[in-house]
Amino acid sequence: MGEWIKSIMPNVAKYSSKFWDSVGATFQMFAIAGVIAFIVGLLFGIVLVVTRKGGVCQNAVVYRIVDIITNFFRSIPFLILLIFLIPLTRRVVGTAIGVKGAIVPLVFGTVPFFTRQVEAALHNVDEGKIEAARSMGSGPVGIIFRVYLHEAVPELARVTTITAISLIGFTTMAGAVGAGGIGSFAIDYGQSQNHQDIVVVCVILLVLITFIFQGIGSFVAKKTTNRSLIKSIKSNSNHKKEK
Amino acid sequence: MIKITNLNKTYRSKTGDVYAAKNVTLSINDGEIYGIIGYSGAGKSTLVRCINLLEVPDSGTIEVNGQTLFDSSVGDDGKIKASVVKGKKLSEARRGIGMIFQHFNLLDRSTVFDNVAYPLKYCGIKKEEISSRVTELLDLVGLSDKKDAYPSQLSGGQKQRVAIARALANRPSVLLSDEATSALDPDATESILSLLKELNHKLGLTIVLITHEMSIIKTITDRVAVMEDGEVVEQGDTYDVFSKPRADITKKFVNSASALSKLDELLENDEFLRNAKKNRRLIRLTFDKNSVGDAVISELSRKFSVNVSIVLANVDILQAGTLGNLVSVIDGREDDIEAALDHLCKCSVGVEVI
Ligand SMILES: Nc1ncnc2c1ncn2[C@@H]1O[C@H](COP(=O)(O)OP(=O)(O)O)[C@@H](O)[C@H]1O
Ligand SMILES: [Mg+2]
Repeated sequence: MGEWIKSIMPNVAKYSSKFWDSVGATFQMFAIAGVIAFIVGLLFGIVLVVTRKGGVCQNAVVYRIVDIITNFFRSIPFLILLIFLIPLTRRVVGTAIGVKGAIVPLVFGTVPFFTRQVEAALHNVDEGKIEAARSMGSGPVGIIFRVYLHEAVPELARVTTITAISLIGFTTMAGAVGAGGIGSFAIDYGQSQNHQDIVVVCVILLVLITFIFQGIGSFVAKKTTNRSLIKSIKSNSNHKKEK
Repeated sequence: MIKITNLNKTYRSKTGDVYAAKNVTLSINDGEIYGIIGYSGAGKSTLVRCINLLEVPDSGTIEVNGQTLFDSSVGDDGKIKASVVKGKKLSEARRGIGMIFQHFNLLDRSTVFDNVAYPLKYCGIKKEEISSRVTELLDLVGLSDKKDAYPSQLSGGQKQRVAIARALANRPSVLLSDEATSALDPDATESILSLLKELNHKLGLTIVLITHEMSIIKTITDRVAVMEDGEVVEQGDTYDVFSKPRADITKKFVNSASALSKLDELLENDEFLRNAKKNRRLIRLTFDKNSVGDAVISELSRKFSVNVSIVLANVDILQAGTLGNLVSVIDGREDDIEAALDHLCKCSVGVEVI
């Protein structure tokens, strides 16, 4: 196996420890920035939905602020954002390079995107359900958790998947400015040194990650939508009939 | 008892203000089924949504079971000062007022059981207690076998039953029904209406029922208010409103639920009927619950030597009794006709010469 890899991907084999380090770094960036962005984006998305006009905690000022911040950061291309945020990153984490330095721009790049997706997902929850919850005495907290988040789970799974895939893309871009990870590895050891096999392996790896995310996301979304529950019940009863 | 006095509600928008409720005063007694009828946009939903404060009125008062939920007064500066029940107290009040909707508004990702349990959870009620209450409620609406089903597996009528069970979970004294049967087929509509009637009898539940269909008002309500452009234009016992409608819109609604609506059409097309001249009259007789059994027609022809032929007849079965309408032609000598009409007026039959 080792011999075979050496023969078709000599450079990957040569730099294999560097390769695994870069995979680890990407994973680290993805996990840390992902968790933070998920929490913050979810929070912002909820805030936008409940404070908008006619929302359960209508508040024009809060809505406006979150809305503007979200729009502002969403309109900056990620590569520019990376540079723009360097001073802030230095102040917050002490350095603007490496995995640590990448977290801040990754969060800033992902949160606005995710916020809008969450907002749309929650917005899709039928107004009537919220009204029914209100008529039963639920307050804002009850409505957020028991209606909005509860009913939007499949949709949230879908948008989380999309966001996760775009975050992977961002981590590789952050690599271009020295964040480490698969992106850096592909540039520094692949492209710069003309090692095509390294670039190919990096691409395959990224495609694989994307497919896996997509698969998990679709699975969760399907399992949590009860339309599919019906299908599974129906097919079960069909099986029974056949027996 | 629900008391609404001088209620006003305006929606402001860029395209102009909409007066959805204008000076509405109503009182709804305990244990009655109170209907509110009006065309789309008349302000019916706005009015009932004010009862549980889903919508906050501009001015007026709302009192439910002795508790004032909304009150307003004009301050020294001429501005309206409103006091609204808020927070925990509002939640408490809402638990005493159930509500059902046109589109059921169930949680799609919850089972029937969890939907019905929704209002019982997080209120400090024990799990076993919730479970037994839900079972009881599903029994009440006849859906015990569906407790693990999801709403998408139910028919419209079944969904509305789940919604009714859910609305009754906290044993409210009042149920607000906003077009609850408008999305249902006739069979399901009938079964939901009879369920509501049953609940009204069994639990003494006060029901406020909104609809745009007179036939529903007719079959189930004790009293009715007719709304048009945010105003209550007529209200009273359903039977009275139905037998003697005053406002034009009420007449329209009454006709819509009765075969007599065809009368105008008939008159327009039938030369013979329209030209009621000498020796012939077109009359409309109204038999109320006291006279509906009387043999008036045969009596007429026997006593006054006139011929009575029936053009159109209709019997409405209302909650409070039967209401008959008869359009007929009287033929005979002038003085006989006059005498016959005089006699009719003395009976407890409504007479109208058309
Ligand atoms: N949230 C709202 N914002 C603005 N206008 C509204 C709102 N809700 C209702 N209206 C208006 O108020 C009027 C009464 O509406 P509604 O109470 O829903 O009537 P109904 O239930 O009798 O059909 C309509 O003209 C409607 O357009
Ligand atoms: Mg309505």
